[in-house]
Amino acid sequence: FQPIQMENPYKEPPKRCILCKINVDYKNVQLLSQFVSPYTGCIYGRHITGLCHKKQREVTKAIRRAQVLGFMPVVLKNPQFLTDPKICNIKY
Amino acid sequence: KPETAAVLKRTVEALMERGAVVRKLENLGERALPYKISKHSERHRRGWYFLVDLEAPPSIVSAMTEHLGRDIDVIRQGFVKHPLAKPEECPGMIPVSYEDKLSGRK
Repeated sequence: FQPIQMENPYKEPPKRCILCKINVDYKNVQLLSQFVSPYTGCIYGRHITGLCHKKQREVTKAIRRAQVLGFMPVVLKNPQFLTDPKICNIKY
Repeated sequence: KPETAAVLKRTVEALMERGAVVRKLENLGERALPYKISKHSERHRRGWYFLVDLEAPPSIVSAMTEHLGRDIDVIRQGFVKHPLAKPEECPGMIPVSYEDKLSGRK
């Protein structure tokens, strides 16, 4: 008897990142501020946020746009959104 | 408040002159700016935010940025493309083998 060649039947569906179905806009500052450090205001990298390539790029572009157009502060995090739940993989 | 209305009217008229079709005008309210902006020898702390939906040829953009830059009442201007409907398929995070990437060719 030969083993039958087939695809792995126990394959799991590929993991999704947290922003998978969400439309990223430069206007919702609350969502964008969750990916920014509260101390320095710098944007977290992919190893901290855990987003996929597309969404990370979109988020970065949206953050820079919001900062330039005057929606989001640059050097700090908006104090209104400091008490938001933690999304990123960082220890304070 | 009548001054903001006058500013809006001026800008929309200038846009119509250059041949732009205004679809929507949204008011995002008056808020404190995220950082103090100094424009035209004045330090601003609060501002009104407006969003203008328009269809225009791309040659307008440079002319309009100049025009809005000269206007004293406008603190900051910007033109942004419309976010088009993106394709819905997101394949998910496929684990990438870094060794293959390193040894393979571009």
